[in-house]
Amino acid sequence: MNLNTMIELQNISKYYDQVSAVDSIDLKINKGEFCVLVGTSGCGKSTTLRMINRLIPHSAGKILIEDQEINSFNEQTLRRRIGYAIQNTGLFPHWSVEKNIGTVPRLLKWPEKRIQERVIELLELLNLPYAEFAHKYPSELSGGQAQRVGVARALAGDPDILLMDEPFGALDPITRESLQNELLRIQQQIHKTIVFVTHDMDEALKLANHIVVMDQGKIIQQASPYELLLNPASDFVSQLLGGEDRGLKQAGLMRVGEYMVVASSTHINDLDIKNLDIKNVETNKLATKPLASVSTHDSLRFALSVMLWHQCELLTVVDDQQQPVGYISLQQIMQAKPHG
Amino acid sequence: MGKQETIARIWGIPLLWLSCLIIATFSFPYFEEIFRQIEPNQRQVIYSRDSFFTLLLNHLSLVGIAATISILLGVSSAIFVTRPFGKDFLPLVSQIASMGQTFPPIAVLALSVPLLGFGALPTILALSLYGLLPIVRNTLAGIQGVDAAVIESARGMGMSSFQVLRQVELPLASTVILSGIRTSVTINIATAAIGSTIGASTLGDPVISGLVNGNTAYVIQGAILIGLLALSTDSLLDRLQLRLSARR
Repeated sequence: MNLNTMIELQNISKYYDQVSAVDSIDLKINKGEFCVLVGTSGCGKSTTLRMINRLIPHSAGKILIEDQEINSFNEQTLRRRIGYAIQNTGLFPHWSVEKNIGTVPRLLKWPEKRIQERVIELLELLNLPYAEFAHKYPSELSGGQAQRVGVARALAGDPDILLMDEPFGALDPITRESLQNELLRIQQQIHKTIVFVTHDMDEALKLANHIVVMDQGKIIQQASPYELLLNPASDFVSQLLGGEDRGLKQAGLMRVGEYMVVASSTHINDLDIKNLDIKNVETNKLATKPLASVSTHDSLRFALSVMLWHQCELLTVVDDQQQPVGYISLQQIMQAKPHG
Repeated sequence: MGKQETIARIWGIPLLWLSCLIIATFSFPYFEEIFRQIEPNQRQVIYSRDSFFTLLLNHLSLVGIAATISILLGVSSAIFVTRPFGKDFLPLVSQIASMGQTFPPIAVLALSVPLLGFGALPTILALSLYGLLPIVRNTLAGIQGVDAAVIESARGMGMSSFQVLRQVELPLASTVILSGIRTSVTINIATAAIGSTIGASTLGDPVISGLVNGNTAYVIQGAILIGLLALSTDSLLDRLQLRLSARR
């Protein structure tokens, strides 16, 4: 068995009155992996997630966490080691934000001082100032804020594993996107093993490095986002991926920073056209000067959209401090090959 | 300054009724002239077999004992039938709880005499049975009304069933439970007076004795005290409930 494996499902099934909700699935999730289970409603993805922390007992097969059968643990001990966040946050309405976040540390009997330090740390991580939010009650929070608190609460006991059941499903698109970005940023800092359930393929492509497509209780395909886009295993998968729209979805996975031409910041403001390897630049007046800029973290899809909007074929690329660091052209985007 | 204002605003009304009750308990003898206007032909117009204070204490202890029994029994049986191991009994208990509400208290009283004889004991039995029902019903409603997502996340975070009950279900159901207790106690303050018909010493004594002897003054004295006691207790519990719900 691989030392890197965090969670392993061996031939797992779940029956309700002889009807199978999950049908003998095998799944390995590595340490530090962001694994997204995606599929339509009733495909068994949520059931699979809940079997990992034993909220639903599995009917057949074995689930191992770091090589140990989950049924060999005490149920409560197991769950306190696994963070859990759900769609409707499930925050305790009679407890303040601070007390909500401290739930698992209190169950683990951490000293009071350590709990408070942990709460402060997590609120900071999720961009919720302690002084402003710690003493609020869940009813005083917006949907996005409540879900941040839900994520903070799931992380509070410093678990190795984080289970998230459509955590952003009930949020408006703008809040959802900003929370997705934050989750990615946080994951870069904390490297947890995340199992995330969603029915939204765009969300899966954006967040995952391991996508598991499920249908009728079975795993249809599991792959990295690039692989999935390039080789969908069946019509069902390509339908989920949005058919021809895949091109844009793929561009959405590629970062500008990886495909741009690096230029020294002193020259970038008055780009010397001769240095550009774009043949049609001179024939197209619009493209002779970069009219707009994108950040290195933006996707090629976003860059393409900016080009369409400003009707230009060339964009300045800026870094986090808004300093120009290079440029990207339409041709570079067209020729970009994914290297997942 | 601000604190005193709040105390007055929150506890003002219960304190007002409570002081009326205490004043009335001790001051009826001073109003003999007024009561004589009501019953000019009676030799005695102030009930005097027991002091009103003794009757008040007896009444309160009857209701207090009965309420303690019904709270303990009612809350725990509602908790029992909402646990996985007791859920088979849920339909039975909730049916009894709603059926019992249609049962007149005097009937319960009449039925308990053959079992326990006359006096305080059958009264306590009748009161605790009758007071049980609103408490069971409200505890059930309160616990069942807790958002399922909240319970699921409590379990998912690793709380034991007892911790879920103690830290999540009961606190969230507490306002509804308290309102059941309030209904139960208020009804029983009135019902306890009927205990006088089967030989318990309560504020119903002057009322019954007045009815039997045709002395309206006695009836009024008993009725005023029972009414004031019910009002004080009800407003006290009302405020308590308000405090509890204001905390979230």
